[in-house]
Amino acid sequence: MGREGRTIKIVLLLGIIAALGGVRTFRPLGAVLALAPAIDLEGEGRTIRVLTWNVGEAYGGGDSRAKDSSLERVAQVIEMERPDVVTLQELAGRQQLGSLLRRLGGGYEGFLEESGDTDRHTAVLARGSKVEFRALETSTGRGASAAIFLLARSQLRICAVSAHADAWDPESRRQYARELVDWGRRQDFDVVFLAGDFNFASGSEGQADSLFSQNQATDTAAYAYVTEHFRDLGRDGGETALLGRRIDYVFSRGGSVKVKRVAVLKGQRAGRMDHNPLVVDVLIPKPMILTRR
Amino acid sequence: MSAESLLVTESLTKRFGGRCVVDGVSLEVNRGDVFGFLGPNGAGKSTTMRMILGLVRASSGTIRVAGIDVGRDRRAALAKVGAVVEGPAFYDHLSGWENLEIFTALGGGATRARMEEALEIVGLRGREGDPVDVYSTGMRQRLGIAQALLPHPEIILLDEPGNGLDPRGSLEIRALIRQLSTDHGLTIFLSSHLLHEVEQLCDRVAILDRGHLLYQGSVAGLLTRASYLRVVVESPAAAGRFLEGFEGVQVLYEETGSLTLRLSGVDPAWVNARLVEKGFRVQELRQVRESLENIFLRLTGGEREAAA
Amino acid sequence: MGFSVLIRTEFLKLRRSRTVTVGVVSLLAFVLLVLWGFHSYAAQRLGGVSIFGTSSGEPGYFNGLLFALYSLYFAFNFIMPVVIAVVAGAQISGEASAGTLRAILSRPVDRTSLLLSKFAVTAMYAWMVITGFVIFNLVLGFALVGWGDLALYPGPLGLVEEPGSIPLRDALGRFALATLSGTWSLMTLAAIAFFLSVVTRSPVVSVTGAILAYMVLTVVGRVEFFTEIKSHFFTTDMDFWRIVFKPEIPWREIAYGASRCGVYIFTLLLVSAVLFERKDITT
Repeated sequence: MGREGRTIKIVLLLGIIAALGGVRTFRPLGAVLALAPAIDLEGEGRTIRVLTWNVGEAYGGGDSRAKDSSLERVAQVIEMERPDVVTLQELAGRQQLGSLLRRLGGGYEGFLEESGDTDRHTAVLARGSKVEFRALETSTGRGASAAIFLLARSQLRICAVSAHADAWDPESRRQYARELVDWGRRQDFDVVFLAGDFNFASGSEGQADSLFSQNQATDTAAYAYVTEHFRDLGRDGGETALLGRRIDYVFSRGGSVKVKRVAVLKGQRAGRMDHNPLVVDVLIPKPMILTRR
Repeated sequence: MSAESLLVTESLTKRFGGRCVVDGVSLEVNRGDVFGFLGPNGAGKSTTMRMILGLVRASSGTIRVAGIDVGRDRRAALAKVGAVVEGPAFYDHLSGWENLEIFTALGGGATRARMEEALEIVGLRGREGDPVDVYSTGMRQRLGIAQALLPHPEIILLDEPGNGLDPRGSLEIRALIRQLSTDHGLTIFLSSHLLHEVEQLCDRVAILDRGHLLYQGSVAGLLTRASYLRVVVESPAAAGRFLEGFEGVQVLYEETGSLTLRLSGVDPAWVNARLVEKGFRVQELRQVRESLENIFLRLTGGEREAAA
Repeated sequence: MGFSVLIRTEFLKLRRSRTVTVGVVSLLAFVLLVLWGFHSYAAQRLGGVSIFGTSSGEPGYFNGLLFALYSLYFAFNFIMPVVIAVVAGAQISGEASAGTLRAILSRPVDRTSLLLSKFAVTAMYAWMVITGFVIFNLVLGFALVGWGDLALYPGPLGLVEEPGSIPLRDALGRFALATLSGTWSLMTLAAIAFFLSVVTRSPVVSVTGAILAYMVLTVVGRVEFFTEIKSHFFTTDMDFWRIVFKPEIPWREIAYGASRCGVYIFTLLLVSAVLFERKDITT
C-alpha cells in the first residue's frame, strides 16, 4: 500500500469518527425528523379512544356507589366501544374492579386507587403495551388513578388519569383539578388525558343555579385553569349526566391531537346511575407518531 | 540475478483456496530478450503475469523488475513495465485516442508527440479518432501495444498476443513484436500457447505446465537438447541392448536396420566409438531435431494424451 | 500521479458513457411526466383552470417552486437513486467485467486512490445531476407555471404539520442547499453500491443489489407495520435531505442526518478500500 493510500484510509477513519461524533452530538432531542409518509394502514394517524364514566348512582337512594349489578352493563359498554383507556369513578372497591376485568376477559389491565379518604374510588383500565399504573394523591384527600402506556406500534408515552372531584365543595374541586393539572404538566408524557367527573357547574349550560354547587365562579376559575393547560376534548358532546349537566370531561395535553368523535352514550345507564359514558376518539397525527425515534 | 536480468521471479507460488495454480516458478528474463512463456491453457501463465503486474497477490515468492521488488514498491516497478494482459481491454464508447489519454494519465502521462509516435509504431495513425467499438481484433491488439509503449517501458508483457487474430493479423502482430525488439530495443515477455509464434519470435523460452516450470532457457538449447540420434547399424537390437548400459543414452525405438537414441550429455562421436569398439558396423549417424511442438507435447504430457 | 489526474480520467470515462446518457434522459422524461401530473392535478383542484401561462399573473399555490419541489421529491424517491446506483455500482465490477480494471491496475496506480477518485467522481456526478435537475425544474416551472412563494402544506412531504410558506428568495436558497444535502444523502446509497461493486464481479449484481436494498427498505419503511424498526434503515437516514425545506431550517437535525449518512459512507468506503487493496484481479 502506498503513502497515498494510507493517507486516504486515515482520512476515511477520521471521517467515521467525525460522523459518529456528529450522531452523538446532534442526536435530536425529541420528535423532529420529518420522515417519508407511511403507507397508511390506519388512515391519517393512530386513534385513541378514551371512555370516562362515573358508574355511581344518583344521591338520595342510600349508598350511591357503583352497584355490582351495574358492572355487567359497564362491561357491555366497554366491550362495545373497545376504548383504549377507560376511566371510571365511584367504584366501591377493588373487588368491583376485579369483577369488571374478569368480565372483560383479560383484554384490559386495570388499577383502582384507594389512597384517598373516601369510600368511592377512581379506577383506570387500559389496553396498550408496557402499561403501568400510579395512584395520585392530592391535598384535598381525594386521589386519582393514572395509567401510563405506550401507544401500540409507536414510542409515544400516553398517560390517562381518572379523576373524581368533590361534588359539594367547589374549593376542593378547584384545588383537586389544579393539583392534577400541575402534576400532568410536570410529567414528560407525549400525551396526557385527564378524564373523569369534575363536577364543574360552569360546564353545564343553563345550570346557573346548580343542584350540587352554588359557587359557579369558583368552578369557572377551576375550569379556566384546566383549559389553560389542557384542551377540553368533550365540549361538543353535550350533557353527560342527568339534569342537563356536563360534568364529565376528557381533557388532553401534548401533541397536536385531533378530536375525531365525541359521543355521550345515552341509554346505557343501569340501575340508578346518573351519568352517561363519555367517549372521545382522538387522532394522534401520523407525523407525531412517525417522527418519534 | 545477473546484471542483465530485467525480470526475475523467485519461487513464485499462487494458491487459490487449496488449489496451487503456480508452484515455485523462478524465471529470469534478461534485458533485450524476447522471452516466450509457453504452456497449455490453464498452465498458470496468466496468473504468473498477473502476479508480475501486481494484479494478483503472490502466496509466496518474490518478483523483481529492474531490481525493484513488486511486492514492496509496485508502483515503481510497474513504471518500467508496459502490458497487455489477457487481451486488450478498452472503453469502447471512447475513441482510441481518448483511451490512450486515460491510460497514459494512469501511467504518469505522456506527451502528445509520444502518443502519436506510439500510434505510428503500431500502425494506427489516422484511426485514433474512431471509437474503439468499431476496431477489429487486430486493431485492438495494436492499440493495446500502443498503450503499453506510452510510458517508455523497459519491458513489455504481452499475454497471448496472437489470440483471436486471423493469419494476416497474426503475421502483422509478430512483425510488430519483432520490430519492437530490434528497432526499439525493448525486452518482450510474451505468453502463448501458439508454438510456431514462440518459435518464430523468441530467443528464450520457459515452459509451464500445471503451475510447474518444466524448462527455461534458450530456444536453440531446447531444440538441441531435445534432439535424437538416428544410428543405421547392423543388428540394431543387439546394439540397442549394448548401448542401454551407458548412462546418458536412452534407446527410444528400433526399426529395421536403425536405432533411435536420445542422448543426454553424451556426444554422438562417443556413441560411435563405443559401437565400433564393440564390433558393430555403423553405417550412418544422423542427428534428428525434434520439433518444438513435439518437445512441448512431450514435456507437458500431451504426447501421451495425443497418443491415447 | 496525483488524485486530480485520476479524477480527470474518471470524468473522461463517464462523460460519454451510455449509462449517464440513459440516466439523464430518464430524468428529463420524468420531469415531463411530473409536469403533466402537476398540471392535470392543479386543473382538477382549480376547477379546470390551467396553471400554465400564469407567470405574469397572480402567484398562487401552484407555482414553479412547488412544481420543482414535488418533482425533486418524487425523483429522489426512485429515479435519482437508480441513476446514481447504476453509476456507482458499476464503478469497479463494471470495469472488472469489461477487463479495463486489469488494464488500469497494470499501470502504476495506487488502488485506494483509484477507488476514492471513482467515488469522488460519483459524488460530483450526483451533485451535477441533482443541480441540473433542480435548475431544469425551476426554469421549466417558472416558465410554464410562474413565480411565487413556496407554499407548504401537511401532506406527502411531511415537512409541516400546519400550513406554512417560504419566501421566494429564501426558497431558492433552500433548493441550493438541497443539492448538497441530496448529494450527501445519495452518497449513502452510492457507498453501498460501491461496496457491492468491490465485492462482486458482476455489475448486474452490484447495481441490482444496491437498488433492491434501497427499494425494499424504502417501501417497507413506509408501511406502518415497520415503524419500530425503520430507524435502523439507511433509507430512513437518507431522508434527511429534504428537511432543508422546513419553514425553519432544522440545522441540528440536518447535522444529525448527515452524520448518520456519513457513518455509512465512510465505513463502507474504508471497508471497500481495504478489500480492494487485497483483491485479486482475476477477471
